[in-house]
Amino acid sequence: MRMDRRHCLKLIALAPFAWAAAKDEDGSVSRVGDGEAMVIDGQGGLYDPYGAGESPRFSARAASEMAQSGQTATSFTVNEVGNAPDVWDSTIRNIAERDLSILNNPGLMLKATTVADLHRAKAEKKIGVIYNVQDTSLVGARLDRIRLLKGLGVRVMQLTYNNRNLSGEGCLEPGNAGLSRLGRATIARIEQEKLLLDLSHSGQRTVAEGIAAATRSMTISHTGCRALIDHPRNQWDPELKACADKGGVVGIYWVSFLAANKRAASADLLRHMNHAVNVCGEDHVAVGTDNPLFKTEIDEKARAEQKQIYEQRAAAGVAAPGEGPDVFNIVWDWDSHLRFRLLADGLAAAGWTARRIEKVLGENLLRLYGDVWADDN
Amino acid sequence: MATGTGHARPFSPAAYDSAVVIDGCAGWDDPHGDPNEVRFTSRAIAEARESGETACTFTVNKAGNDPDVWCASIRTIAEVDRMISVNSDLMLKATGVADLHRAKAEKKIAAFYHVQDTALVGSDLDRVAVLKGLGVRIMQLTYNLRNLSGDGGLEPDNAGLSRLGHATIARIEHEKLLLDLSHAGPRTTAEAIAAATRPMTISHTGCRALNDNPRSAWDAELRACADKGGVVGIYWMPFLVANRPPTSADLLRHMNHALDVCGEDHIAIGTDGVLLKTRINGEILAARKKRYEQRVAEGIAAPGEGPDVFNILVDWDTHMRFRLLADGLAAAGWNARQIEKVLGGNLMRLYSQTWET
Repeated sequence: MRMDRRHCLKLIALAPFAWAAAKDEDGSVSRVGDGEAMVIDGQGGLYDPYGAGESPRFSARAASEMAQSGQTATSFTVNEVGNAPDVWDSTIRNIAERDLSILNNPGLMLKATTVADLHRAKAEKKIGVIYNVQDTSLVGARLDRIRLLKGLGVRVMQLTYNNRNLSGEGCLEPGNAGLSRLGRATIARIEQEKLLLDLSHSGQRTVAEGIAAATRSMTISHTGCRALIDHPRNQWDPELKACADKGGVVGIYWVSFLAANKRAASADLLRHMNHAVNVCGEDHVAVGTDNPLFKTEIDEKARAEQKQIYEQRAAAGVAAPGEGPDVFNIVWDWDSHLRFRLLADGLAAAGWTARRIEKVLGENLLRLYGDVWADDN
Repeated sequence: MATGTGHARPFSPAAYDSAVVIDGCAGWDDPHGDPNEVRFTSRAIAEARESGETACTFTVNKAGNDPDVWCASIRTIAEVDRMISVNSDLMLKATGVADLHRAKAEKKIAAFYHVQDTALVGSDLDRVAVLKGLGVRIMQLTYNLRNLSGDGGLEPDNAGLSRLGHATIARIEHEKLLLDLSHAGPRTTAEAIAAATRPMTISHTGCRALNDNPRSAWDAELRACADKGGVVGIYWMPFLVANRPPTSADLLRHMNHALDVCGEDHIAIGTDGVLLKTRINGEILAARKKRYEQRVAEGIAAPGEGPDVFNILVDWDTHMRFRLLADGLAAAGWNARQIEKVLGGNLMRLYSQTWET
């Protein structure tokens, strides 16, 4: 496909142009550059940092940056994690709030529950918002709640979140337990409801047993390569490969756990992306930033907020090593609403083909969503 | 060591009269009255007095991970409170060792509240203090399945304690409640004993070395419990033996084995049965079958449970069961001191150490 430089400029604003190096084997240039690529953040965030007061409408600046970002879809977390008795109720409240937010910004986003919705988002230049829950503690022994969550629009269900829940082990638990009997029943129910199983945040044995127990493809939506950085939130190669071998997709996150010095740079991210592709193959790697869509302006207000969030997480026992009052979920030199544009260029500069870049930017996740959510399989 | 010597004498009536007899895990049913009637029959009261039992536990919680277990347990506590107050001529709600002595003096039965599972507490550890306030004195960590703290004995994964499990044990100890590791898997049992800083109980279990049932505990865990000053109660349950209803001979085998492994200061009774003769009729069999099927559906039925299986020893299913036990132990060669300890002396010491120091 030919590129149109003006069209491209309009879409990608200030992004550099290294993408021009990304060519297919036949010499054609990637569709990434002309805004045709399906760009999916397998674990994103979508709050308007510029909005004034209590207005439910996203600000004009946010709307403009969302359009520039080139993102087609983002998977958005709607649950409260952890084992507090009220997590079910608070999750339902979060879903209602997010539904309202989407309703109040119809020109910018749509609630995505099917692959058709993602294509529609692309066509209408909106962002498709996919609902995920990160934890099954809110389900517990009441597996019918999985169906209820599906009814409310949730499409991705992560089994555990850092701590042990009734199904299995989070990655911060030193016990490294495997699946409980309920854990196996939970996975079976997630699969029966054709929801996407996510094994991010799980401990090693729970990941391995979760993949072995699964009969359909799954994701580890936001993780890193533990072979590069030995951090409990990252996954070892055998688990990454096992996920890929079952047709699954591993999303690499943009957080401090990528780097030994806790300050992840694009070079760290590219190292993890390359390693993941080597281990999993190019059809099984994606992006799950765990970043907001917008730039994180690190000012006094942001620092105060992060300090509060960190202290809450530490008190709840869910803060992983490396989290801190001054550690933000960003890749510092790519902290921009154009992060996917920067990534495409970075991967191209690293020698990736246009085809491979397209897969990682969104096509792999699109295929996985299609495989898992389809009502006719 | 206790072995049948052939010249043992029965346990003396005077010694039995003065003994403190505690069932460390029990239920209650009046077999002579209407099951829906809260007030006990005079025959049941007479039999309970004749039994010589000083104290027993009442399980007041609903086990399992359903979200409503907390509310259901509070409701049960209210119901048991009422049952005791309606029958205050026989029972008293006991929260300390002084209540045991009072029950002995007044010829009543002291009832200690027991929760079997911490699923109802979950991550809200303040609920441990609330349960203490409501009178609970014994807290069992897990019940057959995994909960947030650790694994029950029916979980094939045999996980150890979670981080919350460590915090739960610390809170149980902080509140000076008795930690009970019955129904836990081997690793959870072992890690919990290692984590505990105070003596604990395995209130109703058997010796897995004699019959490999997941509800029983291996020697290593029994010994570790004793080594920390704890007490192991032997149950009167089908898990004592495979493929047939258990008899007193099976119980005595387990008692002897536990004595060898733990020592005479660390074993007790935890029948998991009722004090009076078990009522078995068509209606009760039907109810038992339904309950068993429910337990199977919930995944909490252990191997050996069944639609027509009751927690009884076929030859000792009478309100005089502990008198029979004392004689049976004497006949097996146990001396009077050992028998007194097992009947209740050991649990009384453990309760005092846990609740009052």
